[in-house]
Amino acid sequence: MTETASKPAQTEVWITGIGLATSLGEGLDANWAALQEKRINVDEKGFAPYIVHPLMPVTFDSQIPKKGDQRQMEAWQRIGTYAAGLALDSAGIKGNKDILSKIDMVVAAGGGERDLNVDTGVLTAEAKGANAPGFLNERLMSDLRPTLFLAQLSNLLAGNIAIVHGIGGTSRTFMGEEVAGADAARIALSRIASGESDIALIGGSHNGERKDLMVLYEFGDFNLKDKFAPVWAREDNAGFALGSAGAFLVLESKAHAEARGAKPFAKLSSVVADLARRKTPGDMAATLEKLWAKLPKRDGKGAIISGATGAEPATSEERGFLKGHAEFPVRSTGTMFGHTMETQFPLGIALAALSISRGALFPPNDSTGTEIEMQGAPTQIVVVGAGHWRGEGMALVEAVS
Amino acid sequence: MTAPRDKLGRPVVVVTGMGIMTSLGNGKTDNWAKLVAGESGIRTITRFPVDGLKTTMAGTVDFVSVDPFSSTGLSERMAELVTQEALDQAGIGAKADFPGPLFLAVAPVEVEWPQRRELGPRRR
Repeated sequence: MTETASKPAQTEVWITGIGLATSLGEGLDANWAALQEKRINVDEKGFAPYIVHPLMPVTFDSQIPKKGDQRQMEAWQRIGTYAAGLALDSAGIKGNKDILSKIDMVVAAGGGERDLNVDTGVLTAEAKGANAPGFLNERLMSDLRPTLFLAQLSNLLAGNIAIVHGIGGTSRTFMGEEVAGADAARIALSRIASGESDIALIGGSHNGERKDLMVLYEFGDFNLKDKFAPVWAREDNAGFALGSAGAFLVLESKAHAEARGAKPFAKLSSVVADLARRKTPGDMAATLEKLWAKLPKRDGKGAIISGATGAEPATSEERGFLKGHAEFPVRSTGTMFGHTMETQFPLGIALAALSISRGALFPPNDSTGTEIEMQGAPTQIVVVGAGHWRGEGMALVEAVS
Repeated sequence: MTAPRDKLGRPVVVVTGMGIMTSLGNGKTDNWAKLVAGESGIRTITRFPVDGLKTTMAGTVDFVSVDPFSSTGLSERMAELVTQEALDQAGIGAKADFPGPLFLAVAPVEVEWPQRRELGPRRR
Protein backbone atom coordinates (compact mmCIF):
# COMPACT_ATOMS: atom_id res chain seq x y z
CA MET A 1 0.00 0.00 0.00
CA THR A 2 1.17 3.48 -0.74
CA GLU A 3 -0.09 6.58 0.89
CA THR A 4 0.36 10.28 1.00
CA ALA A 5 -1.19 12.26 3.78
CA SER A 6 -0.44 15.71 5.06
CA LYS A 7 1.32 14.89 8.31
CA PRO A 8 1.25 17.47 11.11
CA ALA A 9 4.68 18.85 10.19
CA GLN A 10 3.75 19.08 6.53
CA THR A 11 2.10 21.90 4.71
CA GLU A 12 -1.58 21.94 3.77
CA VAL A 13 -2.24 21.46 0.05
CA TRP A 14 -5.02 23.45 -1.56
CA ILE A 15 -6.88 22.93 -4.79
CA THR A 16 -6.81 26.41 -6.30
CA GLY A 17 -7.66 25.68 -9.94
CA ILE A 18 -10.02 23.29 -11.75
CA GLY A 19 -10.31 22.77 -15.51
CA LEU A 20 -13.05 20.59 -16.95
CA ALA A 21 -13.96 19.76 -20.54
CA THR A 22 -16.40 16.86 -20.54
CA SER A 23 -19.42 15.33 -22.25
CA LEU A 24 -21.54 17.68 -20.14
CA GLY A 25 -19.77 20.84 -21.21
CA GLU A 26 -16.80 23.08 -20.68
CA GLY A 27 -15.94 24.87 -17.49
CA LEU A 28 -17.25 24.65 -13.96
CA ASP A 29 -20.61 26.38 -14.42
CA ALA A 30 -21.70 24.28 -17.39
CA ASN A 31 -20.73 21.03 -15.71
CA TRP A 32 -22.35 22.05 -12.44
CA ALA A 33 -25.57 23.07 -14.20
CA ALA A 34 -25.77 19.76 -16.07
CA LEU A 35 -25.20 17.83 -12.83
CA GLN A 36 -27.95 19.81 -11.13
CA GLU A 37 -30.33 19.01 -13.98
CA LYS A 38 -29.22 15.34 -14.00
CA ARG A 39 -28.38 15.75 -17.67
CA ILE A 40 -26.40 12.90 -19.23
CA ASN A 41 -24.94 13.10 -22.73
CA VAL A 42 -24.76 9.64 -24.31
CA ASP A 43 -24.54 8.52 -27.90
CA GLU A 44 -26.16 5.09 -28.31
CA LYS A 45 -26.07 5.11 -32.12
CA GLY A 46 -22.76 6.45 -33.43
CA PHE A 47 -20.72 3.50 -32.12
CA ALA A 48 -23.54 0.95 -31.85
CA PRO A 49 -23.80 -1.45 -30.17
CA TYR A 50 -21.40 0.43 -27.90
CA ILE A 51 -22.34 3.54 -25.98
CA VAL A 52 -20.15 6.59 -25.50
CA HIS A 53 -20.37 9.94 -23.71
CA PRO A 54 -19.04 12.24 -26.46
CA LEU A 55 -17.19 15.49 -25.72
CA MET A 56 -19.43 18.54 -25.77
CA PRO A 57 -17.77 20.46 -28.60
CA VAL A 58 -15.37 23.21 -27.53
CA THR A 59 -13.57 25.96 -29.41
CA PHE A 60 -10.01 24.70 -29.11
CA ASP A 61 -8.67 28.03 -30.42
CA SER A 62 -9.40 29.71 -27.10
CA GLN A 63 -6.84 27.60 -25.23
CA ILE A 64 -4.66 26.34 -28.12
CA PRO A 65 -4.33 29.42 -30.33
CA LYS A 66 -1.93 27.99 -32.93
CA LYS A 67 -3.59 25.79 -35.54
CA GLY A 68 -0.27 24.02 -36.06
CA ASP A 69 -0.26 22.96 -32.41
CA GLN A 70 -3.81 21.65 -32.73
CA ARG A 71 -2.98 19.74 -35.92
CA GLN A 72 -0.05 17.81 -34.48
CA MET A 73 -2.16 16.54 -31.58
CA GLU A 74 -4.76 13.82 -31.60
CA ALA A 75 -8.11 14.45 -29.91
CA TRP A 76 -7.13 13.18 -26.45
CA GLN A 77 -4.19 15.61 -26.35
CA ARG A 78 -6.29 18.54 -27.57
CA ILE A 79 -8.89 17.80 -24.86
CA GLY A 80 -6.19 17.61 -22.19
CA THR A 81 -4.27 20.68 -23.31
CA TYR A 82 -7.56 22.56 -23.39
CA ALA A 83 -8.65 21.43 -19.90
CA ALA A 84 -5.17 22.20 -18.52
CA GLY A 85 -5.53 25.76 -19.83
CA LEU A 86 -8.90 26.07 -18.12
CA ALA A 87 -7.32 24.93 -14.84
CA LEU A 88 -4.56 27.56 -15.13
CA ASP A 89 -7.22 30.20 -15.87
CA SER A 90 -9.23 29.02 -12.89
CA ALA A 91 -6.20 29.33 -10.61
CA GLY A 92 -5.48 32.80 -11.99
CA ILE A 93 -1.99 31.91 -13.19
CA LYS A 94 -2.48 31.73 -16.94
CA GLY A 95 0.36 33.65 -18.52
CA ASN A 96 2.03 34.29 -15.14
CA LYS A 97 5.59 33.51 -16.23
CA ASP A 98 7.08 33.50 -12.73
CA ILE A 99 4.74 30.78 -11.54
CA LEU A 100 4.45 28.84 -14.79
CA SER A 101 8.23 28.58 -15.05
CA LYS A 102 8.33 26.50 -11.86
CA ILE A 103 4.97 24.70 -11.81
CA ASP A 104 5.40 20.93 -11.69
CA MET A 105 3.24 18.69 -13.81
CA VAL A 106 1.99 15.16 -13.13
CA VAL A 107 -0.19 13.74 -15.89
CA ALA A 108 -2.05 10.44 -16.18
CA ALA A 109 -2.32 9.33 -19.78
CA GLY A 110 -3.02 6.40 -22.03
CA GLY A 111 -2.20 7.27 -25.61
CA GLY A 112 -1.78 5.33 -28.78
CA GLU A 113 -4.59 7.02 -30.69
CA ARG A 114 -4.40 5.61 -34.20
CA ASP A 115 -5.23 6.89 -37.65
CA LEU A 116 -8.09 4.51 -38.43
CA ASN A 117 -8.36 5.62 -42.05
CA VAL A 118 -4.79 4.51 -42.69
CA ASP A 119 -5.23 1.24 -40.80
CA THR A 120 -8.42 0.27 -42.60
CA GLY A 121 -6.94 1.35 -45.94
CA VAL A 122 -4.02 -1.04 -45.43
CA LEU A 123 -6.28 -3.91 -44.36
CA THR A 124 -8.60 -3.38 -47.31
CA ALA A 125 -5.73 -3.29 -49.80
CA GLU A 126 -4.21 -6.42 -48.29
CA ALA A 127 -7.56 -8.18 -48.48
CA LYS A 128 -7.59 -7.32 -52.16
CA GLY A 129 -4.24 -9.02 -52.63
CA ALA A 130 -1.54 -6.42 -51.90
CA ASN A 131 0.92 -8.75 -50.21
CA ALA A 132 4.36 -7.59 -51.36
CA PRO A 133 6.86 -7.59 -48.45
CA GLY A 134 7.35 -3.84 -48.49
CA PHE A 135 3.71 -2.93 -48.97
CA LEU A 136 2.91 -2.18 -45.32
CA ASN A 137 6.10 -0.13 -44.87
CA GLU A 138 5.42 1.86 -48.00
CA ARG A 139 1.85 2.68 -47.01
CA LEU A 140 2.70 3.60 -43.44
CA MET A 141 5.57 5.84 -44.56
CA SER A 142 3.52 7.64 -47.19
CA ASP A 143 0.09 7.74 -45.49
CA LEU A 144 0.89 8.59 -41.87
CA ARG A 145 1.55 12.18 -40.95
CA PRO A 146 5.13 12.58 -39.70
CA THR A 147 3.75 13.97 -36.45
CA LEU A 148 1.38 11.06 -35.85
CA PHE A 149 3.82 9.27 -33.61
CA LEU A 150 4.11 12.35 -31.43
CA ALA A 151 0.34 12.42 -31.22
CA GLN A 152 0.35 8.86 -29.93
CA LEU A 153 2.91 9.11 -27.17
CA SER A 154 1.63 9.25 -23.60
CA ASN A 155 4.11 11.83 -22.37
CA LEU A 156 3.38 14.15 -25.28
CA LEU A 157 0.23 15.27 -23.50
CA ALA A 158 2.48 16.83 -20.86
CA GLY A 159 4.78 17.97 -23.67
CA ASN A 160 1.96 19.75 -25.45
CA ILE A 161 0.69 21.34 -22.26
CA ALA A 162 4.19 22.62 -21.54
CA ILE A 163 4.58 24.05 -25.06
CA VAL A 164 1.13 25.61 -25.40
CA HIS A 165 0.85 27.03 -21.88
CA GLY A 166 4.54 27.76 -21.26
CA ILE A 167 5.10 25.46 -18.30
CA GLY A 168 8.68 24.99 -17.13
CA GLY A 169 8.81 22.83 -13.98
CA THR A 170 9.31 19.09 -13.67
CA SER A 171 7.07 16.73 -15.62
CA ARG A 172 5.94 13.20 -14.85
CA THR A 173 3.56 11.05 -16.88
CA PHE A 174 1.89 7.97 -15.44
CA MET A 175 0.31 5.26 -17.55
CA GLY A 176 -1.73 2.46 -16.03
CA GLU A 177 -5.43 3.13 -16.45
CA GLU A 178 -7.52 4.40 -13.54
CA VAL A 179 -4.90 4.25 -10.81
CA ALA A 180 -2.46 6.31 -12.88
CA GLY A 181 -4.85 9.18 -12.11
CA ALA A 182 -4.73 8.43 -8.39
CA ASP A 183 -0.94 8.20 -8.45
CA ALA A 184 -0.67 11.52 -10.28
CA ALA A 185 -2.55 13.17 -7.41
CA ARG A 186 -0.68 11.17 -4.78
CA ILE A 187 2.79 12.10 -6.05
CA ALA A 188 1.94 15.77 -6.52
CA LEU A 189 0.41 15.95 -3.04
CA SER A 190 3.45 14.24 -1.56
CA ARG A 191 5.88 16.63 -3.21
CA ILE A 192 3.99 19.74 -2.15
CA ALA A 193 3.21 18.50 1.37
CA SER A 194 6.89 17.77 1.99
CA GLY A 195 8.01 21.14 0.65
CA GLU A 196 9.73 19.83 -2.49
CA SER A 197 7.27 21.68 -4.70
CA ASP A 198 5.08 24.75 -4.22
CA ILE A 199 2.56 24.26 -6.98
CA ALA A 200 1.59 21.54 -9.43
CA LEU A 201 -0.73 20.96 -12.37
CA ILE A 202 -2.19 17.46 -12.35
CA GLY A 203 -4.81 15.64 -14.36
CA GLY A 204 -5.56 13.59 -17.42
CA SER A 205 -7.58 13.44 -20.58
CA HIS A 206 -9.37 10.77 -22.54
CA ASN A 207 -11.05 10.51 -25.90
CA GLY A 208 -13.83 7.96 -25.54
CA GLU A 209 -14.89 8.30 -29.17
CA ARG A 210 -12.31 5.83 -30.45
CA LYS A 211 -13.25 2.64 -32.22
CA ASP A 212 -9.74 1.26 -31.72
CA LEU A 213 -10.22 1.50 -27.95
CA MET A 214 -13.56 -0.29 -28.18
CA VAL A 215 -11.84 -3.13 -30.04
CA LEU A 216 -9.24 -3.39 -27.28
CA TYR A 217 -11.80 -3.39 -24.49
CA GLU A 218 -14.04 -5.81 -26.35
CA PHE A 219 -11.29 -8.43 -25.98
CA GLY A 220 -11.96 -8.23 -22.24
CA ASP A 221 -15.76 -7.93 -22.65
CA PHE A 222 -15.67 -4.58 -20.84
CA ASN A 223 -17.87 -2.48 -23.14
CA LEU A 224 -21.42 -1.50 -22.21
CA LYS A 225 -23.70 -2.49 -25.08
CA ASP A 226 -27.12 -1.57 -26.46
CA LYS A 227 -28.69 0.45 -23.68
CA PHE A 228 -27.46 3.05 -21.21
CA ALA A 229 -28.15 2.61 -17.50
CA PRO A 230 -26.58 4.17 -14.39
CA VAL A 231 -23.46 2.25 -13.34
CA TRP A 232 -25.22 0.78 -10.29
CA ALA A 233 -28.00 -0.65 -12.49
CA ARG A 234 -25.85 -2.66 -14.89
CA GLU A 235 -25.71 -6.01 -13.13
CA ASP A 236 -27.62 -7.70 -15.95
CA ASN A 237 -25.83 -5.77 -18.69
CA ALA A 238 -22.39 -5.03 -17.27
CA GLY A 239 -19.75 -2.81 -18.84
CA PHE A 240 -18.47 0.70 -19.11
CA ALA A 241 -19.49 3.38 -21.56
CA LEU A 242 -16.34 5.24 -22.56
CA GLY A 243 -16.43 8.96 -21.96
CA SER A 244 -14.47 11.87 -23.37
CA ALA A 245 -13.12 14.25 -20.78
CA GLY A 246 -10.20 16.34 -19.67
CA ALA A 247 -9.84 17.13 -15.96
CA PHE A 248 -6.96 19.14 -14.53
CA LEU A 249 -6.30 20.59 -11.09
CA VAL A 250 -3.88 23.16 -9.74
CA LEU A 251 -2.57 21.98 -6.37
CA GLU A 252 -0.69 24.47 -4.26
CA SER A 253 0.78 24.79 -0.80
CA LYS A 254 -1.33 26.93 1.50
CA ALA A 255 1.54 29.38 1.97
CA HIS A 256 2.10 29.76 -1.78
CA ALA A 257 -1.61 30.29 -2.39
CA GLU A 258 -1.98 32.82 0.42
CA ALA A 259 1.09 34.76 -0.69
CA ARG A 260 -0.52 35.41 -4.07
CA GLY A 261 -4.02 35.86 -2.67
CA ALA A 262 -5.46 32.75 -4.31
CA LYS A 263 -8.72 31.34 -2.97
CA PRO A 264 -9.01 27.55 -2.52
CA PHE A 265 -11.89 25.42 -3.74
CA ALA A 266 -10.94 22.86 -1.07
CA LYS A 267 -7.90 21.13 0.34
CA LEU A 268 -6.54 17.78 -0.76
CA SER A 269 -5.76 16.04 2.53
CA SER A 270 -4.77 12.55 1.51
CA VAL A 271 -4.39 10.20 -1.45
CA VAL A 272 -3.81 6.46 -0.99
CA ALA A 273 -3.50 3.68 -3.55
CA ASP A 274 -3.11 -0.06 -3.65
CA LEU A 275 -3.27 -3.05 -5.94
CA ALA A 276 -5.63 -5.75 -4.69
CA ARG A 277 -4.89 -9.19 -6.03
CA ARG A 278 -8.59 -9.70 -6.89
CA LYS A 279 -8.26 -13.48 -6.92
CA THR A 280 -11.35 -14.29 -4.92
CA PRO A 281 -14.60 -12.39 -4.32
CA GLY A 282 -14.11 -9.86 -1.54
CA ASP A 283 -10.42 -9.18 -2.23
CA MET A 284 -11.08 -5.81 -3.80
CA ALA A 285 -13.62 -4.76 -1.17
CA ALA A 286 -11.12 -5.69 1.55
CA THR A 287 -8.51 -3.46 -0.09
CA LEU A 288 -11.00 -0.59 -0.31
CA GLU A 289 -11.66 -1.02 3.44
CA LYS A 290 -7.92 -0.86 4.12
CA LEU A 291 -7.59 2.34 2.10
CA TRP A 292 -10.66 3.80 3.83
CA ALA A 293 -9.03 3.16 7.21
CA LYS A 294 -5.85 4.90 6.04
CA LEU A 295 -7.59 8.19 5.32
CA PRO A 296 -7.54 10.89 7.99
CA LYS A 297 -10.43 10.97 10.45
CA ARG A 298 -13.80 11.80 9.04
CA ASP A 299 -15.98 13.61 11.55
CA GLY A 300 -17.48 16.26 9.31
CA LYS A 301 -20.38 16.14 6.88
CA GLY A 302 -19.19 13.42 4.55
CA ALA A 303 -19.98 12.10 1.09
CA ILE A 304 -18.39 9.75 -1.45
CA ILE A 305 -17.72 10.35 -5.14
CA SER A 306 -17.13 7.02 -6.83
CA GLY A 307 -15.46 6.31 -10.15
CA ALA A 308 -17.13 2.89 -10.46
CA THR A 309 -17.03 1.84 -14.09
CA GLY A 310 -20.02 -0.49 -14.52
CA ALA A 311 -17.70 -3.40 -15.36
CA GLU A 312 -18.05 -6.55 -13.28
CA PRO A 313 -17.17 -7.92 -10.83
CA ALA A 314 -15.45 -4.69 -9.74
CA THR A 315 -18.63 -2.61 -9.62
CA SER A 316 -20.53 -5.09 -7.43
CA GLU A 317 -17.55 -5.38 -5.10
CA GLU A 318 -17.41 -1.63 -4.76
CA ARG A 319 -21.15 -1.42 -4.15
CA GLY A 320 -20.73 -3.93 -1.33
CA PHE A 321 -18.01 -1.74 0.17
CA LEU A 322 -20.21 1.36 -0.15
CA LYS A 323 -23.11 -0.37 1.62
CA GLY A 324 -20.85 -0.69 4.65
CA HIS A 325 -20.59 3.12 4.69
CA ALA A 326 -24.21 3.88 3.90
CA GLU A 327 -24.17 7.02 6.06
CA PHE A 328 -22.11 8.67 3.29
CA PRO A 329 -24.23 9.76 0.31
CA VAL A 330 -22.68 8.39 -2.91
CA ARG A 331 -22.37 9.91 -6.36
CA SER A 332 -21.06 8.19 -9.47
CA THR A 333 -18.97 9.97 -12.06
CA GLY A 334 -19.29 6.93 -14.35
CA THR A 335 -23.03 7.45 -14.67
CA MET A 336 -22.75 11.17 -15.40
CA PHE A 337 -19.55 11.35 -17.49
CA GLY A 338 -18.96 7.79 -18.69
CA HIS A 339 -15.73 6.00 -18.03
CA THR A 340 -12.82 8.30 -18.75
CA MET A 341 -10.12 5.83 -17.58
CA GLU A 342 -6.97 7.74 -16.44
CA THR A 343 -9.06 10.91 -16.09
CA GLN A 344 -11.72 9.45 -13.77
CA PHE A 345 -9.83 10.02 -10.52
CA PRO A 346 -8.78 13.64 -11.20
CA LEU A 347 -12.37 14.22 -12.36
CA GLY A 348 -13.62 12.83 -9.04
CA ILE A 349 -11.31 15.13 -7.07
CA ALA A 350 -12.43 18.08 -9.22
CA LEU A 351 -16.12 17.38 -8.53
CA ALA A 352 -15.45 16.88 -4.83
CA ALA A 353 -13.68 20.25 -4.62
CA LEU A 354 -16.40 21.89 -6.68
CA SER A 355 -19.17 20.43 -4.47
CA ILE A 356 -17.42 21.64 -1.32
CA SER A 357 -16.86 25.12 -2.74
CA ARG A 358 -20.47 25.39 -3.93
CA GLY A 359 -21.83 24.22 -0.60
CA ALA A 360 -23.79 21.23 -1.92
CA LEU A 361 -23.28 17.78 -3.31
CA PHE A 362 -24.76 17.38 -6.79
CA PRO A 363 -28.00 15.35 -6.88
CA PRO A 364 -28.20 11.55 -7.16
CA ASN A 365 -28.95 9.91 -10.50
CA ASP A 366 -29.62 6.29 -9.83
CA SER A 367 -32.57 3.90 -9.75
CA THR A 368 -31.09 1.32 -7.36
CA GLY A 369 -31.00 3.25 -4.09
CA THR A 370 -27.19 3.29 -3.97
CA GLU A 371 -27.24 7.08 -4.32
CA ILE A 372 -29.37 9.04 -1.84
CA GLU A 373 -30.20 12.72 -1.43
CA MET A 374 -27.94 14.88 0.71
CA GLN A 375 -29.05 17.88 2.73
CA GLY A 376 -26.60 20.63 3.61
CA ALA A 377 -23.05 21.36 2.61
CA PRO A 378 -20.45 18.56 2.52
CA THR A 379 -17.17 19.31 4.30
CA GLN A 380 -15.37 16.01 3.63
CA ILE A 381 -15.66 14.05 0.40
CA VAL A 382 -13.91 10.75 -0.21
CA VAL A 383 -13.05 10.06 -3.85
CA VAL A 384 -13.01 6.34 -4.62
CA GLY A 385 -11.27 5.06 -7.75
CA ALA A 386 -11.42 1.30 -8.25
CA GLY A 387 -10.10 0.23 -11.63
CA HIS A 388 -12.23 -1.84 -13.98
CA TRP A 389 -9.58 -4.56 -13.98
CA ARG A 390 -7.10 -3.69 -11.25
CA GLY A 391 -5.81 -0.95 -9.01
CA GLU A 392 -7.57 0.98 -6.27
CA GLY A 393 -7.15 4.58 -5.18
CA MET A 394 -8.81 6.86 -2.65
CA ALA A 395 -8.55 10.54 -1.76
CA LEU A 396 -9.94 12.81 0.92
CA VAL A 397 -10.97 16.30 -0.15
CA GLU A 398 -11.94 18.68 2.65
CA ALA A 399 -13.30 22.15 3.18
CA VAL A 400 -10.59 24.64 4.15
CA SER A 401 -11.22 25.58 7.77
CA MET B 1 15.52 1.37 14.12
CA THR B 2 15.44 4.79 12.54
CA ALA B 3 16.13 5.09 8.84
CA PRO B 4 19.34 6.91 7.90
CA ARG B 5 18.64 10.40 6.59
CA ASP B 6 20.45 12.80 4.33
CA LYS B 7 21.49 16.33 5.32
CA LEU B 8 18.03 17.64 4.35
CA GLY B 9 16.39 15.12 6.66
CA ARG B 10 15.07 12.90 3.93
CA PRO B 11 15.25 9.09 4.23
CA VAL B 12 18.24 7.71 2.31
CA VAL B 13 17.07 5.45 -0.51
CA VAL B 14 19.32 2.61 -1.67
CA VAL B 15 19.18 0.14 -4.56
CA THR B 16 19.16 -3.48 -3.39
CA GLY B 17 18.34 -5.36 -6.56
CA MET B 18 18.81 -4.89 -10.30
CA GLY B 19 17.85 -6.81 -13.42
CA ILE B 20 18.95 -6.00 -16.97
CA MET B 21 17.98 -7.23 -20.40
CA THR B 22 19.32 -5.50 -23.48
CA SER B 23 20.28 -6.35 -27.02
CA LEU B 24 23.64 -7.39 -25.56
CA GLY B 25 22.16 -10.16 -23.48
CA ASN B 26 20.18 -11.33 -20.49
CA GLY B 27 21.28 -10.36 -17.01
CA LYS B 28 23.84 -8.14 -15.36
CA THR B 29 26.75 -10.56 -15.80
CA ASP B 30 26.29 -11.10 -19.51
CA ASN B 31 25.64 -7.41 -20.19
CA TRP B 32 28.66 -6.24 -18.23
CA ALA B 33 30.98 -8.78 -19.84
CA LYS B 34 29.96 -7.74 -23.35
CA LEU B 35 29.95 -4.06 -22.51
CA VAL B 36 33.54 -4.07 -21.21
CA ALA B 37 34.55 -6.22 -24.18
CA GLY B 38 33.37 -3.41 -26.44
CA GLU B 39 30.60 -5.41 -28.11
CA SER B 40 27.54 -3.74 -29.61
CA GLY B 41 24.00 -5.09 -29.59
CA ILE B 42 23.03 -3.16 -32.71
CA ARG B 43 22.17 -5.44 -35.63
CA THR B 44 20.06 -5.68 -38.74
CA ILE B 45 16.36 -6.00 -38.00
CA THR B 46 14.98 -9.45 -38.85
CA ARG B 47 11.71 -9.37 -36.98
CA PHE B 48 9.73 -7.71 -39.77
CA PRO B 49 10.45 -6.75 -43.40
CA VAL B 50 12.59 -3.62 -43.62
CA ASP B 51 11.93 -3.10 -47.35
CA GLY B 52 11.81 0.59 -48.11
CA LEU B 53 12.58 1.69 -44.54
CA LYS B 54 15.31 4.26 -43.95
CA THR B 55 16.29 2.53 -40.72
CA THR B 56 17.29 -1.12 -40.99
CA MET B 57 19.21 -1.55 -37.74
CA ALA B 58 18.21 -1.58 -34.08
CA GLY B 59 19.27 -2.92 -30.71
CA THR B 60 16.89 -5.82 -30.82
CA VAL B 61 16.32 -8.63 -28.33
CA ASP B 62 15.86 -11.71 -30.54
CA PHE B 63 16.89 -14.36 -28.04
CA VAL B 64 13.72 -14.45 -25.88
CA SER B 65 10.94 -16.63 -27.23
CA VAL B 66 7.36 -15.42 -27.05
CA ASP B 67 4.46 -17.22 -28.68
CA PRO B 68 2.35 -15.83 -30.23
CA PHE B 69 4.85 -13.03 -30.85
CA SER B 70 3.99 -9.39 -30.28
CA SER B 71 6.23 -6.61 -29.02
CA THR B 72 3.88 -6.22 -26.07
CA GLY B 73 4.29 -9.91 -25.29
CA LEU B 74 8.06 -9.56 -25.59
CA SER B 75 8.04 -6.52 -23.28
CA GLU B 76 6.06 -8.46 -20.70
CA ARG B 77 8.38 -11.47 -20.89
CA MET B 78 11.50 -9.28 -20.59
CA ALA B 79 9.93 -7.50 -17.61
CA GLU B 80 9.28 -10.83 -15.90
CA LEU B 81 12.86 -11.97 -16.43
CA VAL B 82 14.55 -8.79 -15.23
CA THR B 83 12.13 -8.44 -12.31
CA GLN B 84 13.03 -11.95 -11.20
CA GLU B 85 16.73 -11.11 -11.44
CA ALA B 86 16.24 -7.97 -9.36
CA LEU B 87 14.13 -9.74 -6.73
CA ASP B 88 16.59 -12.61 -6.45
CA GLN B 89 19.36 -10.15 -5.75
CA ALA B 90 17.32 -8.09 -3.29
CA GLY B 91 16.10 -11.21 -1.50
CA ILE B 92 12.83 -9.56 -0.51
CA GLY B 93 9.18 -10.61 -0.57
CA ALA B 94 7.69 -13.92 -1.64
CA LYS B 95 6.28 -15.17 -4.91
CA ALA B 96 3.55 -12.75 -6.07
CA ASP B 97 3.96 -10.78 -2.86
CA PHE B 98 6.27 -7.78 -3.09
CA PRO B 99 5.95 -5.44 -0.12
CA GLY B 100 5.64 -2.20 -2.05
CA PRO B 101 4.26 -0.49 -5.13
CA LEU B 102 5.29 -1.34 -8.68
CA PHE B 103 6.43 1.41 -11.01
CA LEU B 104 7.54 0.50 -14.49
CA ALA B 105 8.14 2.22 -17.78
CA VAL B 106 6.46 0.87 -20.90
CA ALA B 107 5.88 1.88 -24.47
CA PRO B 108 2.28 2.50 -25.55
CA VAL B 109 0.41 -0.79 -25.86
CA GLU B 110 -1.33 -1.33 -29.15
CA VAL B 111 -2.77 -4.03 -31.34
CA GLU B 112 -0.01 -4.91 -33.83
CA TRP B 113 -0.29 -5.67 -37.50
CA PRO B 114 -0.39 -9.49 -37.34
CA GLN B 115 -3.16 -9.29 -34.74
CA ARG B 116 -4.89 -6.44 -36.54
CA ARG B 117 -4.95 -8.51 -39.70
CA GLU B 118 -6.74 -11.28 -37.85
CA LEU B 119 -9.43 -8.76 -36.97
CA GLY B 120 -9.64 -7.27 -40.43
CA PRO B 121 -11.29 -8.48 -43.61
CA ARG B 122 -10.22 -12.00 -44.57
CA ARG B 123 -7.72 -12.34 -47.37
CA ARG B 124 -8.94 -14.07 -50.46
